[in-house]
Order: sequence, then C-alpha cells, then structure tokens
Amino acid sequence: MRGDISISNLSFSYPDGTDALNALTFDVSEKESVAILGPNGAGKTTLVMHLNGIYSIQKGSICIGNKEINTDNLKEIRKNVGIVFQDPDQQLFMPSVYEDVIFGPRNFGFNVLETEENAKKALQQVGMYEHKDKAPHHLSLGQKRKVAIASVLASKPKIVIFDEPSSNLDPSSRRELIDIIKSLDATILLVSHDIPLALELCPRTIVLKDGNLLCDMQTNEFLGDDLLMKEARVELPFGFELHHKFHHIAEGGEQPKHRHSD
Amino acid sequence: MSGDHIQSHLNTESPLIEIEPAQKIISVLILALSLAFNDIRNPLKFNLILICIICFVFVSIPSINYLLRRMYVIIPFILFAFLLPFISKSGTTIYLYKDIAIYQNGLFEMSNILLKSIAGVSMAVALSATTSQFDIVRGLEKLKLPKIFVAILSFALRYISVYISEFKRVKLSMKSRGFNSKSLTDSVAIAYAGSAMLIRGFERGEKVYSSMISRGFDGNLFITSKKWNQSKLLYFLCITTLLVNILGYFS
Amino acid sequence: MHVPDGFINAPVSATAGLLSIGSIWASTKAANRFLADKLIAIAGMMSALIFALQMINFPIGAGTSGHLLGGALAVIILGPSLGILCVSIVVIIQALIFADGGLSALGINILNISIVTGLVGWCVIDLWKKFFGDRSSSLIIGSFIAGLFSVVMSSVAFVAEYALGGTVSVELGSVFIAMVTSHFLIGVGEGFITALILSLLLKVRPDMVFIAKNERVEKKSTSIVGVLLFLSCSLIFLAPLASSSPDGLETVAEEFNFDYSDKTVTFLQGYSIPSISNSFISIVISGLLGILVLTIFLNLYLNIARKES
Repeated sequence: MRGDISISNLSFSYPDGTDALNALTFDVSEKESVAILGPNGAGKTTLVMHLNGIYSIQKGSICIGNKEINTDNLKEIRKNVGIVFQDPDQQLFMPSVYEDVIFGPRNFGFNVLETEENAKKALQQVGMYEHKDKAPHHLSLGQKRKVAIASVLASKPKIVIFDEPSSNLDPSSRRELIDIIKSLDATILLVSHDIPLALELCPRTIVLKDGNLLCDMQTNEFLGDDLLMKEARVELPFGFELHHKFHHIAEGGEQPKHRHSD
Repeated sequence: MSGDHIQSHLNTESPLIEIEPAQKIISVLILALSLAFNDIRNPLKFNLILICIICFVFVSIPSINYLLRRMYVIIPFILFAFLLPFISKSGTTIYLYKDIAIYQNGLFEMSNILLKSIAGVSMAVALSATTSQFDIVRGLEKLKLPKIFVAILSFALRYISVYISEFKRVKLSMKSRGFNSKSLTDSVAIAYAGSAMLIRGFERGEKVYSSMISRGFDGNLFITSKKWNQSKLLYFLCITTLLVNILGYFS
Repeated sequence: MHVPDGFINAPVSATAGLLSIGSIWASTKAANRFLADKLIAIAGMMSALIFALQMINFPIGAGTSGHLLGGALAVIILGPSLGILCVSIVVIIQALIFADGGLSALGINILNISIVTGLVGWCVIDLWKKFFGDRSSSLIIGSFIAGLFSVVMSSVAFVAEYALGGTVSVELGSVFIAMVTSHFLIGVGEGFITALILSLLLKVRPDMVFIAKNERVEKKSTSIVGVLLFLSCSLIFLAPLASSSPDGLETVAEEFNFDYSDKTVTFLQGYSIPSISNSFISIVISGLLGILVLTIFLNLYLNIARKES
C-alpha cells in the first residue's frame, strides 16, 4: 500500500447534531509532511480519527494509497496508518514497554521473529531500548511519548499521524522528538499548536476552522500572512518573528496551493 | 478501606525474586488451604504447617518491620481475637480475678484466629514482596485462568497508579484552595471530584479502546512469557505441607 | 471490611469460592455480550477507578469520615454484570497484591463485597425504577436506598457465613446485632455518597449511567445452562455435608481433618447454627442459601443479558 492520502468531501456530525467536518477535500502525497493547524474544536482530532477508520465515514470518502476505507480493509488501513495520540497513557496499556511495542505487529500478522526485529528497531530509533522491560507508569512524559511513537513505528506504517506530540515536553525532549520525526521515512501528518514545530517539520500546512478547510498552503507563507493567521486564531510565539529566509516565495518555484472557505 | 498505599517496593534481596510467579502462587495457595483446613487442636500438623509458612515468609521479606507495617488491615480482627476468651462462652471456665472469667475454648479460639490471620497476611505480604503485580498476573495466566480475565486484571493494574496520582493531584489542588474536608458539606466537593474522575474514566476507557483497535486489536490476545527459575525450597515446602495433610488424614 | 484467614471455616469458604467463580464467569460472559471487544478496556479502566474511589475519604461530620464500598454505585452506573465484575476484580487485586483480606477467605470477600452488594443494589434500584419512574430525583433516592441495603445485606451475608461456618463460638445473636447495627451506619454513609455521586453524574453525563438508559431486554438461554452448572457444583460440594447420619458427618469431619471427639463440640459449630442443635437442618440451610443466591442471580441474569440497540 502506498502512503498517499486522498480525502474527498468528508463530512461528519455528532449524534447531537453538531457539525464537526464539512465537505473536507484535500490530498497528501507519499512521504509529504503536512501540518494540520486550527483552533480547538476545529475538527482536527475528528479528522485524524477518520484516517484509520476509528470513526466510520458518514459522508464522503477517504483513500489511503488508492484503497478506499471501508469495513473490510480496516486492519490493512490501520497497519499502514499509525496514529500517535496526545495522551501516551491512553496508548500504553500493557504492563511493560516491550509488550506495548509488540502489540501492533502481533495483531497485524508479523511473525514472532519479525515482531522482535521490528520492536527492537523501533525502540532503538526512539532511544528507549534499554527501558524495554520497564512498566509505563515508571516513565517520564517524554519517555512515554517516545515509547508511544515506537509502538506505532513497530508496525512499519506508511503514514504516521502525530496528535500534539510536543505538548508539555521540556525543550530537550522536544528536540529529541523533532529528531525522531525528521528521521522517519513515511508520510507525516502533524496536528499541533506548536507553531515552530510545524514550521521546522512541515513545508505544507492545512488549517481547519469550524470543520472547514480554511487554507492549504506552504507553512512559511501561512506564517507570513498576519490576516490569515488571525482568522485561524494562530499567532507566532511572543518575541518571535518569521526569519527572513522563510519569507520569500521560491523563485520560479511551484505555485502555493491556496484555498479559502466559502 | 485498603488504605493509601501502592504496592510497596520489591525486596530485591530475596532469592525468590527470580522464581516463577506461578510456582509462588501455587505454593501460597497450598499453604493457605492447609492453614484453612487445619486447626490448633491438632498441634503437630498445625505447627508443621506454620513452620513451612514461616520459612516462606522469612525468605521473602526484608525485615519484620516490613511485615508489621503491612499488617494494619487485620488490627480490628486481632483486637476482636483478644476479646474472645471473655465473650466466647464455651468450655471450662477459668476464673482470673474475683468474678472476671475467661473461657478455655475462648482461649483456643483466640490463638487459632490470631495464628491463622497473621499467617495468612504474612503469606500475602511475602508474595507481593517478591513478585511484581504484573508478574502475579502473568503467573495467574500461566495457571490457565481465562485470558480475558487476566487481561482485565492487567489493565486494571496498569491504570490504578494513573488514578491514584490523579486523585492525589486533585486532593492537592483542593487543599491549596483552602479545602479542609471536615464538615459534611465538604463531601459534596469531594463527590464532585469523584464523579469527574468517573466521567474521565469512561472517556479514557473509550480512548484506550480506540488505541487498541488502531493497533489492530480484534479480540485475540497474545501473551508473552519470560524465563523464570524454579525454587527447590518452595517445592520442599509444598511437598512437606501436602504430606503433613495426607499423613494426618490417615493417622 | 475484608475478612482475614481463619474466621470462617473451610467448607463455607470453599462454597463461597465456588459461588464467586461462578458469578465472575457469568458476569464476564454477560458483560462481554454488550461490550464485546471493548470489555477489556472498559472493565479494566472502571476497576482501576473503583479501586481509587474506595480510597477517598468522605467526611460525614463530627471528625469522622467514611469510605465508599462501591458495589451499589458500580451496578447503578455500569449495569449489574459489569458492576459486579469490576468490584470483584478490585477485591481480587486487594487480596493478591495488597494483602488486604485473607487468601483463603477470598471467596467470602468477593461474595460479600461485590456479589451481595451488587445483586442487592441492582434489585433495589431496578425495582425502584419500575415503581417510581426514572426521573433524576427518584433515581437518586433509589440509589441511596440501594447503597444502604447493599451494605446491610453484605453484613447479613457475613452473619450467615458465620452461622454456618464461624470458627468462634460467640453467640449468633450478639454477632448479628453487632454487625448489622454497625453496618447500618456505614450503609447510611454509603447510600449518601452513592446518591451524591449519582446526582452529579446525572446532571453532567446521564448517557454514561446504565440505570438511566432504557435498553431492550433479551433472554439468553445459554446463561441458564451456565448458572445451573454452578448450582450443581455447589450442591455436589455440599452433598456430603448434607448426609444426616452420624457416620456421614464423621467421614466429612475426618476429610477436613477436624478432631472429632466429644469435647470438641465447638468444631461442629462449623456446621451448625449454634442456637439450632439439629445439625442436619443447619446443613440444609447452608445448601438452600447457596441455591437461593444462585436463583436470584439466575433471575437477574436473564434480565440483564442485554444488547445495545
């Protein structure tokens, strides 16, 4: 399965009637890194929960690598779309780190040897291999986050989605996180309020507001557009300015994609 | 009721720490059942069993203090036991002083209960001193308890510490806002905290389920096993206890 | 309170153990029916929660504080099967890992703390809902009564166990009065806390409270087979005890390594209710009690095998 995403007219409303997503349409190519920004309640998490079939599609369609998500291929989709949730306590439910990391591969049909191999590699990739026999509640938040990432990477997904990966992390843990994400060889979706993180990791940004796609453009352009940022309820950290090297539009480069809600 | 304690630190000096949890659980079961089926009126058998239990306990715990600290749960029952010679009116009467009488059977019953309850608690403390909570669960799984039950136990243990720390945080934040929890009306505030925990608990359960299915869970549980040693001492204690019971049956 | 080893004799403890195994099995099956894959996550989480809730101090005035047992609250918000399952898990964790409650008394403790409180609490709230409707106010009052009754009946269960298998010869009457009166007070506290928590839950998230939801009831015949199996197991176990001839009692006494001699009349009190000198009747009562509990469970089980519509 390829690691590209194609979302078409995705709409979702909650049982009490509130609209969470409104005719979302966008594509993500293989190995692209895209940030998903927007105020709380914009629908970012709802969107994420659709991408591996946790939420059933009410209206519209989602294709992962040309395969449309439906009830028959959920397991294959989930193997290829890994989600690292915001709360690692929700993600690490086994008695030990190692058991959490092998949970995915075992379920997805890897044999015992492959599982061991993948788990080892994943834990080494996040730098937590020495802690593999520890119980999750003995780890710090940063360590838990890393293990959560490893537990997703162990299934070798083509697409990895991060939901607020840097929240509450101290600066050095945050730097370690950035290095880990940079080293990944997969399509990345990054839902975050951490603007510098989005800028550093994702050349492209999609902004959601009230369930609608507000804009879909290069990150540096979005962050250079004050009006748009205000509409998206986003601002740069106090005392920070966008560095001039991020300001220019690539000379002769590709046109930025630009979409406003109607 | 169970007090504010998380499982205490393991006694890393005990040789039983490397031993297969399933063997430890079976040993404790055999000892506990033997204790239940025997009585102080059969002193030889009972004392032999007690000796086996004492061996098990001493090999497991780091110090007597360790054990005593964890015995507070049976204090009311110990106090009740001391009342027994006075209130358990059966058997010959012994007059202590003027009209104050104690009863012989009451004495027997008191020693019976004291010995049994203390021995019982000691065994349980000894087990948890040498076996981490998850290893106890793995031992149960090895003993062929249903997988789903073992999984629920395992999840419950995993999240108990999450809730205990959450509860402590809530308590702290209430205290720092001057909350003193003395009067009845304060119960309302505490109940608010309790119901908030309940609601978050439901939601967290749903979220954990989402995580599980995101990583492909479809009802099949895969259990991992570790490499453990067997303990000759425990084998010896178990066989001795069983022999004591069997031979006692025939004598 | 969690009973330690040595207070209740082996046969009664073993019977309680059988009943507990049966009820855990049955409640797991029933909960699995309406939770399916979610059972592990939800039951695990809620068991952990109830464990933590039991540690909370609720001030009840005059410097004293009470604790929540949680049996009634568990069945009110989770339903009877999941509620009983979760509290049983809590009791097991307390015994095995925190040394709270004797290991040979585990059956007794599960029976008293989760099964009796759960069944009684459920009966009360279910009947209350049928008679007084499901408005918040009536459910809250019903939950108070459920909490109170659950604790009182839990102490009555202990007295019954004591009568059938207590290892001390304190008069049954005194034990009854002491246990039930003290637990009445505890029950008032439990009822109060249960009602309080339920009132808050109904205000904020009524969709999470089992008793506030209206679900279709479906009867499942496989459950009858299961419960009958355990009924028969208990009877098989109790049958040797029920042998009324002195020979029968003698063999049984030897089996359990009791000294069967004239002066140790107190031992046979393990099989008899002290004020009833005919040991046969008391053994029969023991058997009937087991059947009664299982029958109640059977009836509720038929009513509680629900499917989410």
